[in-house]
Amino acid sequence: MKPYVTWNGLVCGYAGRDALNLPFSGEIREAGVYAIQGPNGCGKSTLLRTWLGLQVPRGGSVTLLGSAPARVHTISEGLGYVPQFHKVNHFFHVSVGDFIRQGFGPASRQRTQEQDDRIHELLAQWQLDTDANRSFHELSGGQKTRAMVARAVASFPKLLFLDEPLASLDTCCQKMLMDNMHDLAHHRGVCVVMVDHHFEPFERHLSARVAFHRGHNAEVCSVTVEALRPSCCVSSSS
Amino acid sequence: MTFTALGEFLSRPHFALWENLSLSFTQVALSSTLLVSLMCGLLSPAVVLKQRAYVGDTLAHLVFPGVIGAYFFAQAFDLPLWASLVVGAAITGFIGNVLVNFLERRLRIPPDAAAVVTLTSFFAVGVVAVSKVSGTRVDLHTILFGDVLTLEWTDVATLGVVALFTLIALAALRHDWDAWGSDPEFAAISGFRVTLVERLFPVLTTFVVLAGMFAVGSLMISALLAIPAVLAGPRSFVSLRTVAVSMAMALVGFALAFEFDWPVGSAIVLVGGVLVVMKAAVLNRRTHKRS
Repeated sequence: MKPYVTWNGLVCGYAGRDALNLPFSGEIREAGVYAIQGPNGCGKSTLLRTWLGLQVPRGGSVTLLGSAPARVHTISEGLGYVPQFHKVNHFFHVSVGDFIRQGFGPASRQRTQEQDDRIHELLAQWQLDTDANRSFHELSGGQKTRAMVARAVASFPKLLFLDEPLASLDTCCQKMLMDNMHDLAHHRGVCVVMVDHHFEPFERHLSARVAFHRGHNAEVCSVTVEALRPSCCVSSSS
Repeated sequence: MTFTALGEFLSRPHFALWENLSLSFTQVALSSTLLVSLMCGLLSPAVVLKQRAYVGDTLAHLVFPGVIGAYFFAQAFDLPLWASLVVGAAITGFIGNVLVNFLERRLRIPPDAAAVVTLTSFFAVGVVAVSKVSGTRVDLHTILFGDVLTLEWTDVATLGVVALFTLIALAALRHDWDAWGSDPEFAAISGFRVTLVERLFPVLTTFVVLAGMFAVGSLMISALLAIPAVLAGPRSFVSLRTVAVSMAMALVGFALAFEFDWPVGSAIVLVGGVLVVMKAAVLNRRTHKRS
């Protein structure tokens, strides 16, 4: 089976600015929940965006499910993405139902019974049953995050990337999210990659930890990959 | 007293617009106004919801020297006027955009400050150029305030083509516009045509600004782009309600302009402005009632 994510000598950063990390290499081989951790501004979200192909790497290469990240994506690639909720345009009042429908990609142009059933299922699963017709922006921070996760998993992705989903959730919802991610990883074979600051209560759910370290007087971070379950991933220094 | 005057006004047997509707220049002016309001209504949700309301203003000023240059170029070499204007506007619009980005990046200033510096500089170039020539159709007054009464049936046909292109570009890609408008990165990952929509947006805005400039003027076109979505509160980037509001606003403004001999562009913007304030007042009253 092809590895979920492979990266070689990867350096992240924005064009015209300094690199954010020292080169590092590794491979995610198994479905599981993978944490990306590190101090503010070290490049965690940039790494996520680079793996997704939204950001061109400053150096090195990435493959997703055996191929280089596509320049133009399709829903059939099997990628799901949950950006930080403030990335959603807060002037555009789309209903929660229509918001989740976007998760079907261009197929949402043709409204089908199958899509409607899946949306109802997701609304119930993420405790948003009564909110289908409300504007997305009328939801609380936690409800927004749940709606964004529901949208990202609507098309059954193989790889799911989440950017700081725990920050806006209370303890109960954090547990619900992590339990659901664990279920997706271990019963549906989804590889879940999450950026966040605090995974301490959920260490048992994690397969591996990608950690950014900023040394004293160092302008760029070094990155380590620590496997918490045997053979789920490998890392090598470049 | 006020109500009596209003009653007398409404019970008049004929309005000026109705009386003049059989005249060709009235038909041309009305058709142009409705087509410009159709285009602005179509593009208004994207302009407002993507927080690009200032872009209409910026573009209207950026393209000014290009329009002037193209006019003289078309005269000198006997080229088709509208095609020359579009090319001239596109060239200065492109140069202006590059300059805005350059200033923003190099000087580390906010995008609106970079836009204002560039748009006023470009507009100044246009004013200097136009001050050297008078007595042509493209004079400063027309550019600033527009004048639908100077348009011809060929202009209406051109406006119709631009309106049709805008309609097709929005309606055919409706879900892509909505996904891009809501969350562009998610839309890109999910296979929506984000790149196409991102490239189309400035093209459509340039077309609409240019088309509208001759009807309502560069000072008013950004208001026509912003007000319909502010009034209608659309839940999609392709909103029939917003188009209907835009065209109704234009029609009322046009009728008022004919009735009281006001400039058409100003009358439409005035109607829109009053409605926006009224909407805010009604919402404010409702909020106070609830609390």
